[in-house]
Amino acid sequence: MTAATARRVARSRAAWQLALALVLVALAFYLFAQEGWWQRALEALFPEQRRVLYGRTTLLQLALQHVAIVGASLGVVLVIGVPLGVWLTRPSGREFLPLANNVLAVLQTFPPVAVLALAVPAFGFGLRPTLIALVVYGLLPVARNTIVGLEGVPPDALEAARGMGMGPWERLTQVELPLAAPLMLAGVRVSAVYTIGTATVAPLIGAGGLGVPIIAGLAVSNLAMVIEGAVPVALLALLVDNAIRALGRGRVGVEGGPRAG
Amino acid sequence: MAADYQPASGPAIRFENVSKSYGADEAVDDLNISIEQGELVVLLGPSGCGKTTTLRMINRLVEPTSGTIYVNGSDVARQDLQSLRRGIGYVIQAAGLFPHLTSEQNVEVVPKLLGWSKAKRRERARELLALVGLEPNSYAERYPRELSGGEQQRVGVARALAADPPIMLMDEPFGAVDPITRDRLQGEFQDLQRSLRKTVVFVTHDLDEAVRLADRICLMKDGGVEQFAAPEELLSRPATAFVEKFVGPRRAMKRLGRLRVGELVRPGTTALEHAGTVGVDVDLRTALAELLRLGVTTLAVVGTGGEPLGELRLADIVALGDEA
Repeated sequence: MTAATARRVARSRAAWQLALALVLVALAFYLFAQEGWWQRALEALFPEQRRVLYGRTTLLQLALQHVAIVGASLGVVLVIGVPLGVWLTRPSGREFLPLANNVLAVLQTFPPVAVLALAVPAFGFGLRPTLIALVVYGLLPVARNTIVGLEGVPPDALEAARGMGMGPWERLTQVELPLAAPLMLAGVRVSAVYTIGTATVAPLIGAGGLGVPIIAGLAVSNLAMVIEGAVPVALLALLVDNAIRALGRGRVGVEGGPRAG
Repeated sequence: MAADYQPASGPAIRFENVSKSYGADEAVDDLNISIEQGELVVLLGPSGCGKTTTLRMINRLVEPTSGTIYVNGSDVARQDLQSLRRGIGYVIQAAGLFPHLTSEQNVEVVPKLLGWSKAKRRERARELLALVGLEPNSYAERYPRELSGGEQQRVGVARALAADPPIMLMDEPFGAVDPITRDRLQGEFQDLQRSLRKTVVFVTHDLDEAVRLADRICLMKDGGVEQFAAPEELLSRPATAFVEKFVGPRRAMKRLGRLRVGELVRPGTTALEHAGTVGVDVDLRTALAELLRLGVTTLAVVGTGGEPLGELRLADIVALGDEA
């Protein structure tokens, strides 16, 4: 099989995966919108429960809230994490690299509930402390993979870039970031999956999302309600994970890159 | 290029009292050499002799500790760093191709930095791929990892030639490929250089490669120049004991490798009288091997079209050896 054929096959495979992901998204939203379906399924599983659905907010609304919270915090994670990773691998930031690695690792080891508990006295209840907690939590994979990706750029490619007259900005944007992109994308994927899961504790401090039926269900020992929140969270995490993987495989740079596969 | 660019007058590159030290370590010590326009100079020497440092000071990948380097008459330290480098072709050992770019995109890098139009860049890239022996229609779209080592190195040479720089710096460009590919790349590069007449500074530790390619060889040791001379002279009249040791006992054979049959051909005889024939372009080392193989003392010499030119005598080759 020639390289060109292999490339075509890889591209069509990526296109298929993207199509599959879109179908899954449509299906998921259709299911969220059909609460009767959930009601019947959960009633069959938990016949003794009087109330199997949270009910005060529709599942679709909760899911959209969840996506909004996760999207906002991931956006902030990217805006902070990528430039941080870039700076820590430049001559001006390199001496802070070990320190930053440690701080990021420590932030990651805090349990999310503890981060929320700390965020409340500082920032009060609501969306703001939730976002701060999620950003703190999601920063490590993005920043660390940016650093690892940039440090993995082949030295002879950098040497050639310098010798051919690329300035620092041109080297970064035309050589380093494209070559680091596959690892950076993997970092984003890990961070997204973490954040989707971690955001379920948000209702504890007054933000919404799919955690609402979980927390409410736990409070009244109603397992059906916990499942109403937990299953969609798992589906959402799987969906986003696969969508980002498909995105990575669709990129030519990944395929041509040194860490392809 | 800046206004002080002076085409084709005076040396292309000149080192004036150039030294480079790393701490107490003297990598290059008071270097004074001139490289002429269109000349291929090989910086030769053992590891750590300062040849790569010397090369890298020309495009300021290394800044000298003291002294001045002139490129086309102007001090490199006073030139804008990026435009200096964009005006000098640079080829490194492992080719250093960008893994995320196709062959064509790799060749387009400097033209793109110089702001050429997309169409012009593309046309130039394809022209250069063809020039280095890579059929553009099958190679333009390939990524470096889909190329052999030799093919990668060809793309590296094409990339360095992209903006048609008058000067090329080559740091062991054929060092990472197998001997057969290296031999072929050297031959092709020789042909290329014959038609392009670039000023080339070429670093190697391989004496055979230096003898084959160089107009002049600058043999270095411990940051200083041992001898700077044409290959024939380096082989026949080593200036120092180090040069003599470096070129080794087989230097007479190496020298034959540089000379062509044409230089010893004696006119007047026809092919019929001889056991074998040899082309006028063949090097004397190969011709000698042919004489020994056939067990004869003369060979008929023919031109590129097969026309008889005269004869080659074993005695003449032996006489050359005595001279050396």
